[in-house]
Amino acid sequence: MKEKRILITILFGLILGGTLFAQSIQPVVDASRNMKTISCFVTAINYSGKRKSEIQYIFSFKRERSMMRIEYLSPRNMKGTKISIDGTYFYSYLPNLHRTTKRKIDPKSSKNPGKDMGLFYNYIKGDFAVRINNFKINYLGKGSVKIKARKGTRELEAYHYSFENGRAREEIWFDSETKVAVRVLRYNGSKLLLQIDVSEVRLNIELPDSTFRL
Amino acid sequence: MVFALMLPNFVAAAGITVIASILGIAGDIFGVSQGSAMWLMTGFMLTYTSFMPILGRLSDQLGRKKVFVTSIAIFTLGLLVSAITDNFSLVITGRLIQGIGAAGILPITNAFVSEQFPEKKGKYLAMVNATYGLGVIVGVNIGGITYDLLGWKWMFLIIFIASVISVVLAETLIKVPSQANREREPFKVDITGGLFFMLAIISFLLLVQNLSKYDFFSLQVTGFLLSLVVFATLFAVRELKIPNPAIQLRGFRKPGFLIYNLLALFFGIAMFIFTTFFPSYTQVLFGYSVSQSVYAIDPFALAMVVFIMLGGMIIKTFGARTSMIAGALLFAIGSFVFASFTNSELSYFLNSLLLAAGLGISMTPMNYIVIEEGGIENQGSSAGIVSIMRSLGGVIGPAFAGLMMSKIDFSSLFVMDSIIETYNRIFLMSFYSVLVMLFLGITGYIVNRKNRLELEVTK
Repeated sequence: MKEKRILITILFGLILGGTLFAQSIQPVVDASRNMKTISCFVTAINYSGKRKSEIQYIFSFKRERSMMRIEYLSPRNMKGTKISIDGTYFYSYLPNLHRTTKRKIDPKSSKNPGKDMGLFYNYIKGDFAVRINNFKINYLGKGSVKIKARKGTRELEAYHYSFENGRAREEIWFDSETKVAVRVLRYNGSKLLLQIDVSEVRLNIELPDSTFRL
Repeated sequence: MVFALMLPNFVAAAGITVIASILGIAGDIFGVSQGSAMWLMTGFMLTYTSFMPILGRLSDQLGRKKVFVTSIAIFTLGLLVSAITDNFSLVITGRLIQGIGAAGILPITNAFVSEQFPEKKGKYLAMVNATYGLGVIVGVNIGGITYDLLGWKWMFLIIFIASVISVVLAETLIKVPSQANREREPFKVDITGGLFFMLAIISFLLLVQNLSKYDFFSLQVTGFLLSLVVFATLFAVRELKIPNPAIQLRGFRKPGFLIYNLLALFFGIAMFIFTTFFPSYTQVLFGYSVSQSVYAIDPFALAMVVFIMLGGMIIKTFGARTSMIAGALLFAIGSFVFASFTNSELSYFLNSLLLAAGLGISMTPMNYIVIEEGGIENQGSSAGIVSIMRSLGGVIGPAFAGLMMSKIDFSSLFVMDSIIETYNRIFLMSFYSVLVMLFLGITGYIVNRKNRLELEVTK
């Protein structure tokens, strides 16, 4: 009888401990803090326009001076389009229009690239811990999630959270191994606005500054 | 003779759009900013619109053939200037000269056929407009293909060769009967009025250009707004005062003349928006290359030519004013459907055909009515005025469309969605312009009917 009680206590302790660990966002915050560079493949689906549109791009980011590069792979009318920031200037190249633009980055502007990626952008930029203070965080469980990848889908184990701030809501799945955000769903109220799926993640690799200029 | 009249019209129209296919990359080609490169089109439209009233009046006074042939020669010279230089400023100078020449060719062709073939005016006006439409599209195609094969200089040289042939044919084949070639009023052209008109247009263009960079209440915007108001007022006051104005503004006192010229202005806004933005629209929507985008507007343009001819033919059956309303209604439906429901290659082609039908059917009755409303003695200046109003639309519409393009958020992840939405808004602006056109068409019809009834009662 005594052994049975001990076993139940241990089991309860393990479940409680595991739950507490899983519910804590701290490992994700730590992973974000330790990230210096990231290169990944992203599929983003926009649900906010008149019609749904899907894009795929290779995303590179270097936290030092918030350097960023996006190279679009699809759809056809965006293939070859490049956007980059070298910390001072924003460059864009639209091959269809043969148009290259270069302008100085205004840090206060809400129109800087990346900001429409929501908390994922904060995660890679490094102010995730500060930013989530404005949100009510709910842990929704651990489970497998199917991520859109370059070819088909990829299934992985992830922690599922929701972040709410008024009508703005984001659901994010963090890879259970790397703690990197692998899926982001952005909502306004109940309306889904944007889905971002992240795959082929490579963390803290060498990314020369020239990568971020056009 | 008809061929000798139509060829210059065709060549001049091709000259307008020959650079359209490279407008998007002109900055890279000439090593200048994209904003400066837009002067390849803006510069042409500036002198084209500004010189139309002067050359229209000149042809009324000096005789059509003299001014017509000289205009083709000026146009030819402008092409040569653009072709033989590597200096971008000189290329633009050439475009400005081409605009002056084209300003004499296109409206005078309208006046010429109205005078020479009064009985078959509708048919010949339709032919003029159809060759104009064909020239516009051939210009885009020749420009794109020549640039790919031979480089930008040959874009001007090919039109130059055609233009030289036009001068020779016009000089030798056009025979003007003594009545039509009679000595007109003593030579008097209002250069000052023309200058005020040009300065007003320049002020407008710079005003809109600065609106994309500065706040409305900035000095750069309010300054040009002020100069626009000043020069437009000076122009209007002068034209109403002097005996030989550049534009017969007194003609606008006739309600019918005013209504149908306003209609031409809104027609120009809509038409130039579609024709200017079609190639780049297919580039962003379907990912077409420059040459693919050029071919993509061919069905639209060819359909437009067919419907222009149809527009000329139905005048005889239904009357110009009824045909005008039918065309405007079709144009309104076409532009709305195009702006709202174009999301695939098939829908693009089908919707652009509907658009071409409306645009084509409206064009000839519009010119026909304005020339008729202006009176037999002012056919040259009336043809000039309706072309000016249409060209003013060509300055205003693309200028505002350019302003809308400058507001695109290029930092958005879905930048193409932003661009396509902007294009759709631009095409919707066209639709609203056509709605005004339709309203004016109906008003013009009612005014004309009322006048005719009053005339019958008086009799």
